[in-house]
Amino acid sequence: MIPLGTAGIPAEMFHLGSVNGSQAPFTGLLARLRFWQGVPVSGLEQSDLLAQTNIEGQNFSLLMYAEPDEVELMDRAAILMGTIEEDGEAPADSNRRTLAPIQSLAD
Amino acid sequence: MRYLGRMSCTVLLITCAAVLPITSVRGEALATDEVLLLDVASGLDFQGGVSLTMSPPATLEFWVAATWIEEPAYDPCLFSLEGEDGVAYSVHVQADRRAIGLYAGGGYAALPFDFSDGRMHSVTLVSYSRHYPSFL
Repeated sequence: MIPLGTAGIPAEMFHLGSVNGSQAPFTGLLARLRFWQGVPVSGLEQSDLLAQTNIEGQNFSLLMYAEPDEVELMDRAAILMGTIEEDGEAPADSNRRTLAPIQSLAD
Repeated sequence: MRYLGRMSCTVLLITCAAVLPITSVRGEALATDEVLLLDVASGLDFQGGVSLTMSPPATLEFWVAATWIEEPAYDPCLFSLEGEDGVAYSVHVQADRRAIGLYAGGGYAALPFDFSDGRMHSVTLVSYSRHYPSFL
């Protein structure tokens, strides 16, 4: 396990793809990250949804439903390379492995 | 359904293997524009909030694929929440892609699962203990 330091870090930050913004970077795919109030055995309703990642086109956002005043919308298209080509290949400037065709993903 | 074990609170981890085409546990299809590509340069930082603290009872779900080939010298982190006293929790796929782990409350627990196929897998993390006021 990597060492997790506490010095000099900002309070209450949520990091996708790292610890404290730089450590232990992740290489891979992430989809439909959702936070729910409640557990599955009690039956989760849409109203229990607290937060979720939202990726539309090349815009990425983290929506927090429980705190509407704190909804964060961030446009990081240039960083994310979030679009998978129609033929299922990762962006040409990436060395990622081939992904399944888009038609298969949407079926 | 598999138990991850006891940490600062009781956590239940459910993993479901999935192969493309991707269909979620609710029968929904994953569209490609919902997939976030992460690499060393693409981490994102957000202001935290109560919604993200996993205070029980709470459920966290996501789809993940670990696509690295060479094993890194650390356990790559999918996401993490920092509190005022440091990392509140963080979720990692282990470097060898053979387990997923949760760091919280000064402890770390891992559940063996094979992510080495590089395909999408669904993960659900449930914080259900009422013996502690918070997952943190």
